[in-house]
Amino acid sequence: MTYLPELRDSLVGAAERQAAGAGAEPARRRPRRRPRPFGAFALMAASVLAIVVAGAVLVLVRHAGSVPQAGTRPTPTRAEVVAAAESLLGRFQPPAGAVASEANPAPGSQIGGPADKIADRYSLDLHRFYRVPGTPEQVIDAISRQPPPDLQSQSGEAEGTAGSSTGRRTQSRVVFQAATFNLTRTNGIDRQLTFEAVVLPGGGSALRVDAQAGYGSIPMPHGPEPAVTAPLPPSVASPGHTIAITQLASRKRALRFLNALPSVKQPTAPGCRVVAPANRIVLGATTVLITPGCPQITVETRGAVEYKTWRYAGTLRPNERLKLLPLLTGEATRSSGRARP
Amino acid sequence: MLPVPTAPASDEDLLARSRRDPEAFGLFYDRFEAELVRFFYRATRRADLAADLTAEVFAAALAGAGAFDPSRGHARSWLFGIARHELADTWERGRVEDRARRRLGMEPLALSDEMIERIESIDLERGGGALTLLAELPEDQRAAVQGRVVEERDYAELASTLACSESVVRQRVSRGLRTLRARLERAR
Repeated sequence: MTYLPELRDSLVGAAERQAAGAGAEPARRRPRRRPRPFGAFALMAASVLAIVVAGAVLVLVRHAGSVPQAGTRPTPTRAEVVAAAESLLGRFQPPAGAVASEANPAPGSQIGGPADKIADRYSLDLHRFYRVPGTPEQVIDAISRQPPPDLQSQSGEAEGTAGSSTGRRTQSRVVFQAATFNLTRTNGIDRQLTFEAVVLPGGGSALRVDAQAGYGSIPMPHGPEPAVTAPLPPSVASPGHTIAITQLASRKRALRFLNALPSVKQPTAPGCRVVAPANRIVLGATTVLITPGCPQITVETRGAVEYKTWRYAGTLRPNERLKLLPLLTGEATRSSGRARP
Repeated sequence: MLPVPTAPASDEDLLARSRRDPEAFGLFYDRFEAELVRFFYRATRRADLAADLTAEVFAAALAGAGAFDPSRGHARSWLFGIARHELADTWERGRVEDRARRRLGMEPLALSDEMIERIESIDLERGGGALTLLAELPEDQRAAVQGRVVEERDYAELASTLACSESVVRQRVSRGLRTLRARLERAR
């Protein structure tokens, strides 16, 4: 009996990579041709010349300040990133009948307020709100039918349906729908357009458009702590709920997502000492505990011993946060119930 | 012409070949996976930890296969040496390391309900005693555990047979296994 068939595949894959690496080694170790007497003299002269040139270059570099390395582009400036995000927003053609709104037309809803998106030193988020006729499904469907021209891929899909995630349903009515478009990287800037629509009580939908631009290197597990902590997605901000993700593929995605987050060394992050009602996301044997106001996601196994803790912090890339969102709002079936203290 | 029978490769041969023949490591895995999972499950009583530790030990074995010296002992002893170290480290640190897996660029192991159930049914493999206890379970749980773990039928089929939803079958299997485990512990 095989207990872990996926592990076998993963190990054989790793062995293949290892074998490929080992096969490449002899080529690197090819013996160097012995130079002839005159060759040796020429080689020595060339070495001296190379040292002199390298020294001169070093001096010039120091005087010139930061000079980009050959073949690589310098990190984009914040002004370039702002321009990229503004250009993304500017190109968006709202659906017919849309009316721009200064503030969120559906405050307190899943589409969140102005401060609910990531905007840290590694990414920038510009957004606009609209009131749009039609249901959230119709709005997102209309937008998805005309994807941006430099579309690279779409993400934020709950079940792989093209164009949009499946929204949370209330009495078979979609009340929230989202779609994300990853655009081609330009001048070292990662770009993403996200659309979220939520039903308005008086009819029509509120639409939020986010243009996100990412830049610079993002420190991962052992890097410096980020300055800004990302807020929880608005859909999970209300406490006291258990969210069960029932489909195996979704669990895998969510587990991979959580496993990719930087781990926390200390068991409890500051600000998490107060026991507050929390959201519990059940992923098979694993339970994920999200406490509003606490920058830490706790992962428990079998509900008993705290196995690993993870930080849900500003190190997330825009698309990472958006990957979690449909998992929590789209396919998740939400049931009420207070979390255990 | 009759095929010439060949002797199966030894564990040591498989390990030595795994540097250039990835499938040799797959065969090595096949030989020891069940034993290692059972070893860890009986030590930790947790399926997820057993799976995680198994993954890390095999990754460490793959990464260190080149350093294995058959003159110093059998491959099995070497593998279980790594396993005991890994287990001791886990108790000490309170978590399973993933250093070897990261070094090999392996994806985190995503555990499904099925995998966890399979590992948790290790207790049932002991035969007679467990089967007697199985018969003592409430009828709904017994039918679910019998169908799922012993007969390896899928949830959809069981739900149809037992005239309930899949999630109810899952609950019954989970409760039944929990009860069996508790009774087995007491019987020891």
